[in-house]
Amino acid sequence: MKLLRSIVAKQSCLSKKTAFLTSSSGLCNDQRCHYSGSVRNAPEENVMNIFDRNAKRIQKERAAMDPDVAVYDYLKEEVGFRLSERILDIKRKFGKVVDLGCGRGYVSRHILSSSVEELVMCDLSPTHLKQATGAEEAVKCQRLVVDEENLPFEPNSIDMFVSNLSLHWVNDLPGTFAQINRCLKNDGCFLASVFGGDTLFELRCSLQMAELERQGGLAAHISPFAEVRDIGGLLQRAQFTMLTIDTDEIVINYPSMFEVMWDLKGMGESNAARNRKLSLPRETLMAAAAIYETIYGNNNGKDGTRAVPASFQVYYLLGWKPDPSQPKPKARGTGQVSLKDIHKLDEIMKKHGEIEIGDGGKEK
Amino acid sequence: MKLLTHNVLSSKCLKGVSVGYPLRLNATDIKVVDVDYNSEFVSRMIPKINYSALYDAAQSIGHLNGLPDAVVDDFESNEDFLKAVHHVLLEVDIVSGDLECPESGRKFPITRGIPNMLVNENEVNEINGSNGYNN
Repeated sequence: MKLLRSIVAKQSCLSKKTAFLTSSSGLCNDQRCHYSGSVRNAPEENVMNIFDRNAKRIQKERAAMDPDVAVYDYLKEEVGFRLSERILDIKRKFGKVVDLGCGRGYVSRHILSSSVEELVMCDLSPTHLKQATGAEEAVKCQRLVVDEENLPFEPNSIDMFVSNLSLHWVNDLPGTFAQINRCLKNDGCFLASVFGGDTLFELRCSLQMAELERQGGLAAHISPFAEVRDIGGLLQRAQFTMLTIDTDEIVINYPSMFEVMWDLKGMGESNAARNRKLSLPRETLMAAAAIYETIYGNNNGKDGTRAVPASFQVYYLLGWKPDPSQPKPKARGTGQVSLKDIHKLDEIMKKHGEIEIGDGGKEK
Repeated sequence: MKLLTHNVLSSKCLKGVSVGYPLRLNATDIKVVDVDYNSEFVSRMIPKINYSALYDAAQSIGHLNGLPDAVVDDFESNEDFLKAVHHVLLEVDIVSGDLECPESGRKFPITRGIPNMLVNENEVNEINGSNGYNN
């Protein structure tokens, strides 16, 4: 059964609306995909400038200057909290941690002094940085205006990089991953959340269908998102080891498509693709809203009213910079028990007396 | 901006810059704030920082406060040394000024204690699509 939780209610320019956050408990929720082995050496490609970083900075600045900026924090706040829990799961105290694309401190405010000694909060938007709240009392916090595409850190100087929902606007993702790896100390950790895959597929489909119908063609209104297999390959190519990627789906219900778009703008997540159309005819927007409601509408709104869902697929990435101290797979052929006999493990252990399980360690 | 942060900043992403470290510190407004002294934290940080870069930065802003030019041998138990490092690392706060690339002379402004490390597209070192960071 889906858990329905009201998380924000506000007056928009269109109508009174309430958004609901639903965490899907289906198969796609919290799947863990482990990557191992090597990736085929692909030829080095030229960087494609898909996104206008300057436009993105202006959008974020404009969003940060909105008096109601806190109203739009619900999604990033929720994902930031989930990401911070993953930091606490790592039983280690990190010295210098960089929060890349910190926004208003969605991860930083949950960081504890038991996990982190010094936190460097970085964002493209100076106004967001000024508003960012970190755990200043417990953790030594510093702020830097930084572009995720050009990291200003010395090699081997950072213990951990954290990034919450900001890397989906980076043009050169392989380059950014390589820079992060270079700046990390050996056995340093990279933990991030990124939008991926099917994020906002309802909005994408509705706009495409409306444009095809009304204008006889379509343009990209929602930026492309990375697939989970692509991210795994890119992390491996950037020399990260012991990768873990899990996916989470968050579904938020809105009264109509217009509130979805309004909130995306409030989050600073408006389209920043270089080839974006700067305007849409009103009739196309109205058609898209009608298509959205017809195809995807549900009765999960406040007090059972009609609502439209917006799906956000979030990938959580965890990778480590290689270090000789890290565990390595044992050589092929060293196993003593076949997996097909695993159900008879008790008998095998009685028969053999002991089974080697590690470097010289014996299971008796 | 504290000198602890300055210690890890570089301008290596700039075109034609091979090292870009340490950045020259030109401070126009400095604030000294009291921070609780924690000898354990300071002694843990000393092996992790570039001490000569820290010394040069403190000297350039006139806040050496008895900091020696090299790490003393018994630094874990030397309270005077640890307190001097604590002061320079954590209590000296650069409110405004700029960070200057030692090779290109490009300046990164510091406003209200926040350094702006943004670079223009034409200034970026782009090698093989990885901004000069090849593994």
